Amino acid sequence: MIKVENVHKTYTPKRRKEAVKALKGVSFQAQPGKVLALLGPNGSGKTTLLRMMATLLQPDEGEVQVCGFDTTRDSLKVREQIGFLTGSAKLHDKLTARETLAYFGKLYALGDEYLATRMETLIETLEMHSFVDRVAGKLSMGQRQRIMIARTLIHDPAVVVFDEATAGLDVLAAQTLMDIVKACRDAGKTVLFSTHIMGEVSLLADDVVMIHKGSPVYEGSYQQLKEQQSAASLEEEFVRMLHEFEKEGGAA
Amino acid sequence: MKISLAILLASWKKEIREALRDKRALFLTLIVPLVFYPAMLGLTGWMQHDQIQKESSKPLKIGVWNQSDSIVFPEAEGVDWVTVDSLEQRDRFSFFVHVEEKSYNHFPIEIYYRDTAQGDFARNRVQKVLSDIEKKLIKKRLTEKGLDQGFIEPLSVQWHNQATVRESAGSRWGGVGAYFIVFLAFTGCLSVAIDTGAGEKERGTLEALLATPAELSSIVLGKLVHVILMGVLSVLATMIGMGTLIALGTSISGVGNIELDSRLILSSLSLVLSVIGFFASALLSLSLRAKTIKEAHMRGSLMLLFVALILMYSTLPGVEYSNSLVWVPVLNVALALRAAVEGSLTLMQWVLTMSVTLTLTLGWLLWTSRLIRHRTEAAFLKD
Repeated sequence: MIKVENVHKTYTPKRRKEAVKALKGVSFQAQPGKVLALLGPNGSGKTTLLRMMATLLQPDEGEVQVCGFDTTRDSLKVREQIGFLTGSAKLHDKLTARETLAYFGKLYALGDEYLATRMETLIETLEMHSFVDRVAGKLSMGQRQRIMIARTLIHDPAVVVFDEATAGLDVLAAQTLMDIVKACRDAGKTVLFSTHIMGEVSLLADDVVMIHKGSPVYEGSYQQLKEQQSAASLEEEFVRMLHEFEKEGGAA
Repeated sequence: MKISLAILLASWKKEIREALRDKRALFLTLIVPLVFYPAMLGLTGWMQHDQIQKESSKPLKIGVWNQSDSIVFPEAEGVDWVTVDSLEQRDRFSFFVHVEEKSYNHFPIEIYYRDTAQGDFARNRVQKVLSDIEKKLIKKRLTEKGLDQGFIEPLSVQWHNQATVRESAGSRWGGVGAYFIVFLAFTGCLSVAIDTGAGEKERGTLEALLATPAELSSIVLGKLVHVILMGVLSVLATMIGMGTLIALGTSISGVGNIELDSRLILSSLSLVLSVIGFFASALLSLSLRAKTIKEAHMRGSLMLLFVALILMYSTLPGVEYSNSLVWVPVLNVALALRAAVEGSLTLMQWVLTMSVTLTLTLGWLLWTSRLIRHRTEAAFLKD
C-alpha cells in the first residue's frame, strides 16, 4: 500500500532565482491488488512524487508511506518493499541479463538459493531465455525493457512503481509491460504507474490520480471518472479537467 | 559508515566484468603501459642513437682559408678539408674555417656554420680537431721554452665522492623514479574512476542503484577497490614494460646501483599502494560528484596539472623529506619514495606518510558517500 499525505516539495534550480513549487499538497492512497494510474502533463510533478516513493527525494512537508514505512525515516525498509522503473532507466550495457539480475539480487541482499529461483522465474515469465546470456548493449529495445522489468521485480516487491515506463517502446514491448502490470495486480501487489497514454489507463487503471502544476486535480476510481466524463473521449476529458482546474485558479 | 562485504564484492565484481569487456579501458590500462610506452621510448632511443651514429660518422666537407703557415689541419677520419683562397667561397660549405695570421703567437680563427641540429654534430667534430691542434701547439711551445705542463696548469684538482653508491644512484634516480611512478599511479586511476563514477551517472544506471536498499558506502567501496586495482595494474604494467626495455639492453646509467633489498621493496610498495588509494578515492569522489563524463574529465585534468606541479617541485634540488612536508599529500609520498631509494627513510617517516595518506583517503571516501545522495537529489530535481 502507498499512502501520500499532503506532500509539498519546493526547490530552487541552480540558474534561477525563484523557487519552483513542484508539489503542493498532494494526497492519495494506492491499495494492494489494484492499479493506480498517475496522470498529469509534463512538469506536473509526477516524477518528483514517484521519486519520493522510491526514497530518491524527500518531501519538505507531509509524508509518503510505503507498506506502512515512512520514506524519510525508514528509507531502507521502503527500498526493500518497492520496485521502481522509470522510462529514463538504463541498463549496464556490458553486463548480460543474468549478470544484471544477479548483481541487483545481491544489492537487495537476497540469498543465493532464493535469488537463483527468482531469476529463473523471471527469465521464464518474461521469456528471456534467448538473450539472457548476451550483453545488454547488443539487445533490442524490447529485450532491454524486459531485463529492466526483471531487475525491478527481482526482490518480488509488494509495491511496484512504473514511471512512464512505456515511453519510447514499440507496441510489442509496451504490451509486455502492460501484461506485467496486470500480473502484478493479480498477484496482490500495489501497482502505481504514470502515463500520458489514455489507452493504457482505460486498460489497466482501477484508480486514477491526476495532478497538474503540483496540485491535485482528481482522485477517485476509474469507474467514477468514466461515469462523470462529459467529453467525448478520455483524452478530451483529461484536457477539459485541466482547463477547468486552471480557470478555477487551482494551480496558482 | 556501515559496510556490507557482500555488496562491496558484488559492486567490485560488476565493475571488473564491465572493465574486462571494455576494450578501450583494457587498452588504456594494460596495453598502452605494457607495450606502447616502452615501445615509444625504445623506438625514440634507438632512432636517437642511430641518428647520432650517422651524424658522427657522416663525411664532413669543410672549407678552409688558411692564411697561416703555422697551422696545419691534420687528416681526420671522415673529414675532408677543402682549401680555398677567399672568404667569399664560404657559402659553398656547411662549415668554413678561416685562419688569419696576425702574429706568431696568436691565430684568430673564424668559423662559419649553419645553426641546425645536424650543425651541432659537425661543430663538435670541428671543435675536437681544433682542440687537438691547440694542444699540440701548446706542447710544442712548452718544449721550446723548456717548461712542463704544470706551468700552465698550476692546480691539479681531484674530486672524491663520499656518498655511497646507493646514495648517489638513489639521489640521481629516486626523484625521477618517484615522479614517474606517482604520476603513473594518477593516470592509471583517472580514466577508470571517471568511467565508474560519472559514467554510471551519464549512462542513467545510477538511479536504479540508489533505489535499492544497498548501503551506498559499500557500493562506493566496491568501485574504489576496482579503481585501485586498475591503478596498480597500470603501474605494474608500465614497470614490467620499462623493465623489459632495460633488460633488452637500453642502459640507464646508475640505475643498476640501486639495491633492491626487502626493506626498499616493502616500503616502496606500501607507499605506492597508499598513493594509488589516495588518487583512486579523490578521483572517484570527483567523478561521482560530476554531472557528466565531460565535467569529470575537466576536473580530472585540473587535478592532473596540480599533481604534476607537486611532483615537479619534489624533484627540485634541495627539496627533501621534512616534518613540514609530510603533511602535503602526494609530495610526502614522492619524497618518501626518494628517501627509500636513497636508503634514508626512517620508520617514523614511513608511518607518518602512510598515516597522512590513508587518513586523507578515508576522508575523501566519507565525504563522497555522504554527498552523493544530496548531489543526486539536486540532479533529479533539475529534470
